[in-house]
Amino acid sequence: MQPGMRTPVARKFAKILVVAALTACSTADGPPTLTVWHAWGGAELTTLKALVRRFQDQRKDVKVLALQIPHDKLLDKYIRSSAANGGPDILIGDNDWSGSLAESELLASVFDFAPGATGSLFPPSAAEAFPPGVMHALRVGEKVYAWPESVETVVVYHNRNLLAEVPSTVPALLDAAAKLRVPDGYGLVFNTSFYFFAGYFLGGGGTVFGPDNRLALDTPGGRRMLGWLGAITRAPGVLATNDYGKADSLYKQGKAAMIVNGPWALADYKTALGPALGVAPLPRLADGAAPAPWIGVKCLMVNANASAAQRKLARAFLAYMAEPAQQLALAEGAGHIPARSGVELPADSPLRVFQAQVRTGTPKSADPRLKLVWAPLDRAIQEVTVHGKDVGASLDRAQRTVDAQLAAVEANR
Amino acid sequence: MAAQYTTGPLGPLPGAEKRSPTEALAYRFILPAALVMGVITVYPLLYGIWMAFTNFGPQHIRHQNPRFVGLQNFVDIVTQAQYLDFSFMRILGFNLLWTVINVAFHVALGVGLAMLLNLDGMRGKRVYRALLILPWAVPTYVTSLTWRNMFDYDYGAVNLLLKGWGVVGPDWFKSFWTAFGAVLTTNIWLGFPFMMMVAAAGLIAIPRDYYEAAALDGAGRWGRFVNVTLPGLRPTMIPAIILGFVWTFNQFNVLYFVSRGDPLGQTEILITQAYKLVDPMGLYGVASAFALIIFFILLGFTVVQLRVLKAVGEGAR
Repeated sequence: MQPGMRTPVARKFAKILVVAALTACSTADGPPTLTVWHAWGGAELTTLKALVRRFQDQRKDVKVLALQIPHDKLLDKYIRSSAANGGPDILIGDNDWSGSLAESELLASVFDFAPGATGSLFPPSAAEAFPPGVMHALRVGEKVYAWPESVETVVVYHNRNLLAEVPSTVPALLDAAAKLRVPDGYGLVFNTSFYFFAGYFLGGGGTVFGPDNRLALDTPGGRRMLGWLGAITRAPGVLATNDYGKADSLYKQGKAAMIVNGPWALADYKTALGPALGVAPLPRLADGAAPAPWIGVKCLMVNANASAAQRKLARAFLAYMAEPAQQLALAEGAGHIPARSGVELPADSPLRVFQAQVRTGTPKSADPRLKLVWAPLDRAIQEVTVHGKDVGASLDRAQRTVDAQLAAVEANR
Repeated sequence: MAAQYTTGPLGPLPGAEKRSPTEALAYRFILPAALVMGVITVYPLLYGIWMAFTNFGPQHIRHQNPRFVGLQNFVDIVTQAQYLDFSFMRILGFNLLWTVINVAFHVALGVGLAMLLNLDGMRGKRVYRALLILPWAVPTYVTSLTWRNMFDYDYGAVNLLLKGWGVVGPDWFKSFWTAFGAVLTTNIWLGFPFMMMVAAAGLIAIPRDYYEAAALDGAGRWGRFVNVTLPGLRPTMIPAIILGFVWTFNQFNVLYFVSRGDPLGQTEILITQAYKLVDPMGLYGVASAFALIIFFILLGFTVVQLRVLKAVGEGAR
């Protein structure tokens, strides 16, 4: 190595050090930063940016840094970084994350309903701003580790060019689907995965956890509803599939008159169908029973590693996001259904249909046990709908599998 | 210059015991890379081995205080504890079938196409070579999702093509053999370009004199292929075959995105099953034990492959 070559390298290195030192100094001198990790894109991101700007207009003493991370990497990245005492101050995600993250001690408690408990971000009285069902979905024992932002559930989207009104009962809907003549398509595309089927499974008498909070998949009501699903998948004019992408594409291409889907699809469907897009509640079962689809909750969660000062800032941001003005902005801009009670949406907003559907829904619990249920139930559904297997045997197998897995997880503690 | 070499065919050179200044410099150069490798490869590997003998779960992420459970995780996997809901031996059997058939197709197609591209006087070789490499250049999950759509029962290109010929296409992921055919086709599409490139490089390295000598000895095309081409390709193809075996054995994307384990988990391989132990079950310890088993299976096969190929090579001399 030539002696002369060392000088430029050393100079460059010195420059980097100086720049790094200056950057560090500028951060230390500026307002404290509240870091938010999220996976929002498109209209959601635009709305979030606008709300962050508005927050900063109100609070000049804090800088909010919202970082977008791909949805499929967000949870893993959060777990890895917060387990290493790092991570953001706030994580925006689904309520069923909160149970597992709390189990790993990676979240700060938002509410503690135990008598006389202290140390949570908000007093229990602050929970009264939200419907009891929403709080129920977030509860992990006596505590809640997530602050609700919006709720999600499924409804029926229809193509008005093919079907003007969605019938109010399932038999009438199936009849309409059979009679519709959709070129190279279907009257109804129905996603058979348990998330979408749950509305009828739970509304028609099936259960996941019984009244004693024990696993109760294989019940007479559950068997009846799984058999019912098996029957409707063979109904004329119906495409039953567990392929979300396929069902979604068919509806967007005008090859399906109806589809059951959630509010996340609303913007895409508006673009694809324009004024032909219609939204209706899930039709009732033949016996008049109302469907009880899952109510998911999008939440803001606070990192357990956040210092007391950062928690105070996070608390202010959480409270701000639940104010009626922000809830309305999220509804209008991002298509989010307000989690807060009493937020009145415009009369012509399709989100009102979702709001109405939420009233009959089932809160999707943050209970970490729930995540073990999906795969065995999806398998049972596949066995019955695709392979024509016996309903009782399939549900019994699902019950035994989840029971064994719960026991294994419990023994692992 | 000779001082730079510490060993040779005749053993250590005189005075090679002393580390030369050049060698010391070389170690300093590779030290940063070795440190990085140590942090990002060796440490996680050792950590994974430790986890395999513990009951590590989500509740241990923060404090890293799981309980030592000895060989329990391995026993649970091999004896099919009820909570696992799958047969390890069945999945291992499928995993081996999947790997052997895939690698056989990859090598046969790769060598065949490389020989075609090596023909004298062939026009447009560069264009063909570029086109044939395309499947390798596209990200695996993109290719996998594309093939998944192509095998769709109602609207997939494969069934539409069959319909055009008057054949009703199957529901590809409803039965084991059609699902296996679908994932096999996808992975053959993904895997042959690598073997083709390696074989092409190997063919260029075979001196033409050997072919001329073989022809003078009366060898026909087949004879030249067996006695000149195959032995000539051996040094380049053996590492490629071993790599291909390991990659295919652990080919997560194709099985996860194309068949998604359908029908009813019959096209799961060990690595996709291990993933499910982590998400949603959170059994990190069991999943680590699973990964360790996979590691030893692959290590065993690699050693056996090397020995067999070495023996075959020595026998052919």
